Amino acid sequence: MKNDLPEYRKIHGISQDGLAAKLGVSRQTIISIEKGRYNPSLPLALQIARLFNTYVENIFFLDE
Amino acid sequence: MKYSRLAFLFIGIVDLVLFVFLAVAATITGDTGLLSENLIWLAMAVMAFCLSYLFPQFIQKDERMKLIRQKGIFFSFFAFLFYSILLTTLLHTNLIQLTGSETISILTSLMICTVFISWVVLSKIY
Repeated sequence: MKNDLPEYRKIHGISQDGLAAKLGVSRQTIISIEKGRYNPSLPLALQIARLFNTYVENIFFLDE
Repeated sequence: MKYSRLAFLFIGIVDLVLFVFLAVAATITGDTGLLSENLIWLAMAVMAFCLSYLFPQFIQKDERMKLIRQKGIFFSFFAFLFYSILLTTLLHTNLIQLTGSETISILTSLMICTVFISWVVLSKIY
């Protein structure tokens, strides 16, 4: 699965550390998600989408 | 956090030194049983070194760490089966001769090393 998380993060001016703190996960988890090495669980993806006030599909999408 | 990492590193070095000392003693006396029974110290050293690397990540109990733990245990289960089959085959074919306590010690040491090394490898992947 691919994602536009770095773009959304930059638009909202949130650092990886800041996002990790808001989501209650480690910075390493955010790095892994952004690099596509790790797919977040549905609750975490929904939390991310809610934080950026958008839909999950706008941030996470299948690599086709 | 820094001190905890150093503490694990220190424990690892102590365990390693202890293992080397016992291994040298076992080699000098020619007691191979002593060597295999003390493999647990080497496993403890590996565990401490792995924990010193993993500690900053492991204190974060988020879903990535849960996944790494679960996958590590999953892979270790198959490794355990492999070790068991290998040891059983070697013992049944009389290629090696071990006492019960030596076998358990070797198996325990292998399992400790496998679990912690797999966690380190998985934390690099994910």
